[in-house]
Amino acid sequence: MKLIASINGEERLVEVSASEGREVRLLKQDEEKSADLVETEPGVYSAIVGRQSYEVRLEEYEKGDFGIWVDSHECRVELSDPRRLAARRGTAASSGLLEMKAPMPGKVVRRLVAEGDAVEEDQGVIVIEAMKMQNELRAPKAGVVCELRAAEGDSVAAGETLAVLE
Amino acid sequence: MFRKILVANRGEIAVRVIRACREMGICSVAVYSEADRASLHVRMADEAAEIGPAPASESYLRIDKILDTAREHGAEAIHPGYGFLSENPELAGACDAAGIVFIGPSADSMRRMGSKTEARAAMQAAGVPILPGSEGPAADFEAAAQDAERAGYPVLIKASAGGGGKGMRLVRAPEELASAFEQARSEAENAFGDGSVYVEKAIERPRHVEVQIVADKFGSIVHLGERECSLQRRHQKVMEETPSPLLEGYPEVREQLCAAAVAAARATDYFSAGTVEFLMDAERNFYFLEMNARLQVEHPITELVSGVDLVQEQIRIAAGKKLGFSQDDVRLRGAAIECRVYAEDPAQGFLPAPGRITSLERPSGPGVRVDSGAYAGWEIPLEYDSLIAKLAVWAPTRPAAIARLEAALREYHIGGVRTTLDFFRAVLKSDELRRGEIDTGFIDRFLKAGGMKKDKPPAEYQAAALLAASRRFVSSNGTGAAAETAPADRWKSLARRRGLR
Repeated sequence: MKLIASINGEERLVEVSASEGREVRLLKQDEEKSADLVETEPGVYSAIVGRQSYEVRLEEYEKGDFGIWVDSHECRVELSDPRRLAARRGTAASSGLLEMKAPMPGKVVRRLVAEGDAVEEDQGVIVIEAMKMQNELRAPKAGVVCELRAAEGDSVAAGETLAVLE
Repeated sequence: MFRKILVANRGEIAVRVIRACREMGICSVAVYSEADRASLHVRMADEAAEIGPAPASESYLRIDKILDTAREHGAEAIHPGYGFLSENPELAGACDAAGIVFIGPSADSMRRMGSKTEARAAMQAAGVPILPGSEGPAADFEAAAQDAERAGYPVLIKASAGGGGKGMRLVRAPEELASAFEQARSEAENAFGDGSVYVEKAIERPRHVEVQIVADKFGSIVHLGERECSLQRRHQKVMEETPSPLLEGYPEVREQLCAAAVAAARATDYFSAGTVEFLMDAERNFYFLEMNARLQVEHPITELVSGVDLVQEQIRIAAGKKLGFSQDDVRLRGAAIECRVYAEDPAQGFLPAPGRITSLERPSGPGVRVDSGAYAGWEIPLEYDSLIAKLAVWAPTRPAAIARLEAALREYHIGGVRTTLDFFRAVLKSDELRRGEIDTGFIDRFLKAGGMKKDKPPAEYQAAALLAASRRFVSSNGTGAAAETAPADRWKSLARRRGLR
């Protein structure tokens, strides 16, 4: 099966053959690698590649989007089926709008800007309190605040959009 | 001996105290807030009671509710852990009034150590070196200037009403004093509503060295050696070790330091476990900083090198037993290091990272100890601080302890939340740290210099990662390849096949 693989941001086309049993074969830029792969506990693999043994831990954040740890070295791997390119995301990013989301659940303590304000990159936009500490969320790039969704005192969930910049 | 103890705390320290109770055959009573119903300490205790909604001010800090619970359950003693009410003389006093034993020092001792001016006066009288500086808040700029002259530059101007670096200014020379004084004053006024400041001698690249003491109610005071706690981030300890690398080859300084700690405890009629904190300069001069009248977070490393169970000793002392050992009986062996595992993301400026722990794999083996309240599936509550575990190792030497710690960190996996484990893996590679050349500014410098920058994983690791991800992707897409069967199912299918033969 051909897949588009992105490892820590570098994209390439690979071909995977995962037959019944423990073997997985990977063809990547004319280089073939095969491994004896066994899932020992959910998300924890024993991979033997040639003579080398690895412990691989896997967390699937979203379909095809993996956080992988090989002996504490973290890799981000994204896999997608080229036949399903339409499944690739293209939302607010393509429309030029940037959503600032809460990185963790907490309470909005202070809004540092108002709707309509121009902000510079790294300027503080909202202050959230969680775990007895206050954290200032900063604008990832310069822009104009077109929406401020959270009010002071609001409890917010992780991933919730707090502000929209353009 | 007590038959029942109420543990007035939560998280890993509550688990620690409950373990000591279990070993001593004492019934434990856990208290929990609404946010902590699913906590590990609750199901480990023998009895449990809810004491209020999530905010600590409505639960763990409520002396009235804690005492009511103790009475209802018939607890004869209360262990306060660390933080929360552990150094609150009101709780100690309320226990006395209720005829319940407070496992810690007396309320009076606590009060004396809690007042900075009283503590300094007591130390001076006992001949314990203190950091030269103002006797009390500096009345005005002239007084501050005089204090600074006496202490000797460089000096720190500090806020009397609070800490955390607010209202604090470093002054290297007399000409800088005036503006620093004004800035510190106004910052303190804004932060604490109280602009009073005082002057203290500043130590360049100070090291934080503290001494563990344990004393009974009969006047026996013993020290269990020192701990070096210089590895701090924003004034919060993250890694501690014993013995202090700076004192290697200087046993006479260690003796003086520990003797000073014992003198400090004696000067305040102290009993139970306590810690005397000092600042040390590069020349190994030490100055009293403060006394912590409670068990500390980092107590495991002292337990590892001394073989003394500090929590059990606290319980025995509180029950009126004599200390079971003298100073001559104390044998400190080897080296121990502890890492505090916080639910914080080191890649994002240590932003708190609460969430659900999806998987948990703890290190083990000789000389490896984990103190934790975490478990797979635990939703880390937002309302309390983010310490979720402590990893401590013991080995015969410091280099061996570092190697053991690195090996243990390779085995430690906490899934679903970001933790400081990655930070420890990175910082242990530092040559300076490995040589013991550390001070309270080390970690901030390490981070500023890009210590957390991650190298790309070696190519073969990337290959292994890609292979595992591909297997998962392909099997969950069911492309004609057999879907991955969980190990339990394979036993079943094997049994079925065998049965058919």
